[in-house]
Amino acid sequence: MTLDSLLPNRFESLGWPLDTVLRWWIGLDDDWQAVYLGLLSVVAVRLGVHVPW
Amino acid sequence: MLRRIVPGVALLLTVGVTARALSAAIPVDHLILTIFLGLVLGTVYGVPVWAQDGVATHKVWLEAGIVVMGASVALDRVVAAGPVLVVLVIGTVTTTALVVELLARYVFAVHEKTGSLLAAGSSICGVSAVVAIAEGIDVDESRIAYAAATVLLFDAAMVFVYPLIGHALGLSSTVFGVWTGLTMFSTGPVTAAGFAFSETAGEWSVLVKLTRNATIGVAAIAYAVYYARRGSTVGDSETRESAAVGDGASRGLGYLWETFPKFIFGFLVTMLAANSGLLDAGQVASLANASDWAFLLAFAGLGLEVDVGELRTVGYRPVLAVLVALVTVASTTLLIVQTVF
Repeated sequence: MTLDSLLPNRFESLGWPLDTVLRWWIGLDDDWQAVYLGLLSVVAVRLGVHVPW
Repeated sequence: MLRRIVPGVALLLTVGVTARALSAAIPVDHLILTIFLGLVLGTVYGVPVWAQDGVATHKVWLEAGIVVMGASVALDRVVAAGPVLVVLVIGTVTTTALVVELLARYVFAVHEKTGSLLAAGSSICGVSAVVAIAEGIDVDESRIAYAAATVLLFDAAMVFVYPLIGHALGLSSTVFGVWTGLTMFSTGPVTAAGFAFSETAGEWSVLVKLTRNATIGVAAIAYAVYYARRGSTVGDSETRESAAVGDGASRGLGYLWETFPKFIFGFLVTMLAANSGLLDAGQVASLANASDWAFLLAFAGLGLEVDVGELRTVGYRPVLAVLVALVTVASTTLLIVQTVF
């Protein structure tokens, strides 16, 4: 079994709305991908996610 | 798409975590070690095909890391230093561009458009500036590759040399951060050198570098207008070029927006959110950790993607033009920054 085969073949397997959101995010250019990824991290931390080092 | 990206990201994480573990035994900063380890692995083994898409995401990690890092920047410090920083950035960008242009054209006989690409890369934001300016003046692909390789050569060297100079001269974190932000080339190496020196130096270097990056749109339009007025006399392929250059110059505000590094908005939003009390100290510390993880992935990719073979193709004349300009501007700027901060 390869690492590749362990990963989801299609986003659908992740379920809606994650599938839709991922498709939209991947379609953005690098700059906007970074903006949304960064802001998502801020929201996650604000909601209580702790990031250890 | 996801399964094409994940293996490469896993490779970035492996390189970063390994370098971090090694830094406990070797007295070298983990970010510098991450770039070095990536560079060695990339040079000796190359980037495997299965990892290429994931490794290419390093730019997104760098920019996302900067967006998140905004939480650690104190707004009052930015406001206090703002006017001085803007003057320093405008002065350094203009001086560096002019010095490289003059040296390239009149001393080292580098082709005019190659000189302009080198000037943009040295003065604003490295390879991104080379590509942005190239789009406006529509230069041959070979010249873009040549200028980009020259800039990357300096990036690869400066990320190791700058922290050594900073420590040797006993610079303060603020002076070192502002100096690297003003004079180093691409955003990734600037961030790595800054944080390798200290946390505070890293924040200053990114802040100054982002201000510098924001000038890219204006510079791209200025170059497009300049070459449009010059007509096709300096072109590589005259008919195609004169039409494209005219187009680049006439796009105005649209072109300004197209070339503007949008992740700066994310940085500003995060900085404002943290400074308005939306995040407590623990959350800011968590975001600083998230930023460090993102940088670790970014710098592993930066090292892995350095193509030593491509760097070997760079001729000595453009290197000398950029080197003389860098030494002149960087030493003068350091004196000014030491006086101001």
